[in-house]
Amino acid sequence: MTTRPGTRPQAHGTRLLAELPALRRFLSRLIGPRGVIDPEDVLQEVMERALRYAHTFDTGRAMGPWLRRAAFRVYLDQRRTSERLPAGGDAVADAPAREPAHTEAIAHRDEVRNLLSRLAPMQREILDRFHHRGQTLREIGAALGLPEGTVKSHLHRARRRLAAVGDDDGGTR
Amino acid sequence: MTTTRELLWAAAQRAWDEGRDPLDDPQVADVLLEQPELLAELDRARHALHAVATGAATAQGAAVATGGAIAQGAAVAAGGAIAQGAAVATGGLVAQGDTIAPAVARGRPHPSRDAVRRWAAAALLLGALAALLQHTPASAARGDVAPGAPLADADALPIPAALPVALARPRVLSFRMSVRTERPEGTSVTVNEDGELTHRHLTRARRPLAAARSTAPAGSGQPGADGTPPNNGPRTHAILVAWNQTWTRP
Repeated sequence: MTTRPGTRPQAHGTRLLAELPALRRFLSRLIGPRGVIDPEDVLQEVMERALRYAHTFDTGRAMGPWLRRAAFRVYLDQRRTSERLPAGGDAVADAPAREPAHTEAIAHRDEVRNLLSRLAPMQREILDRFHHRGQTLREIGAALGLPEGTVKSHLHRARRRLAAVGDDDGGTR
Repeated sequence: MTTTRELLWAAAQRAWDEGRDPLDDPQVADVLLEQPELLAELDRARHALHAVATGAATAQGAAVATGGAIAQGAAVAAGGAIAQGAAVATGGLVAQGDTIAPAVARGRPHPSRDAVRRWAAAALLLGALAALLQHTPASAARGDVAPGAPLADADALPIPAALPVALARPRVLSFRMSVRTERPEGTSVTVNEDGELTHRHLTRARRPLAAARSTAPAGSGQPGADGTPPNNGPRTHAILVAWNQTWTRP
């Protein structure tokens, strides 16, 4: 599909407008009701990128998947950026008041401890050895007298259990 | 038949086994693009594993690691903080052909945050989005140009009228601006400036702009739109060449 050069920007902008509702729904599903990133912030960033890089977009493609992929990346970037900001810093005007970093850390530590306490001892041990001590599956198997495949199974089940237990407790995102 | 959730977890487990963040995995991204709600489930595991990795929460009750756990915890409490810049922009940037300096040149040394936010909203940054997205032709950036040479806007990107209204938000702008001053004697000079409009950087942004602060059309005998006296001297065009935006919460 080709377009006359003069009509391309207008057509692109019109298509963007048409995609806004679906993109908003996608971001709401992605970020969830307790997300710390405002979906509208992500939406605007995506729209700006879409406008700025309109010339790179193949008009023969569906725009929705292109926008969703961009939104996904923008959201992750914004989330990682917000995670790097120091608590109580002055980087954002009128940012909501935050708990002291120490309090946050304690709350988070206790939450994770609670999650870990609900794992089977073997799963907890293997998680610690793999993710904290940096041991390989082979090293863990040798230390615990288990086949490598068994260690891997315990590890994978432990990770899934963390996700499931966290949901049971109403974990936030 | 493998469910989408199983596909997600298979890819995520592989990533973790290989020491990678699952969110950087293309297969994980593909699944989440189809079922974004699964991100919450993945995040619960990610956050817990990160705490384990940093030693923030061990079965033995070790002391809190202040790095990763705080980083993760901060994500919950950060409130969507933005990386760069602090506050809202003043807006009112110049469109081609206009000679209105940004609000930074109006001599307000220490605007309050609320005042800056009002400027941003009032300036309707997005109502000037078409101007912000104009690209300066190469001729305007090369230095002296022939007097009266038009500044082409062939590269301007038309913005659907409804889009700026739908997206209106205060923001911080970092920008590159090309300021061309046409002198009465027929010569002109172009200055390219990088600047940033935030409530912390207004003074810094103001200096280069003040150097070409004629705001009234040359010879018009009329005061400028921002109240500057009539100017029969140089005429200034300020054109936004490129810009990047970060966002503040409203």
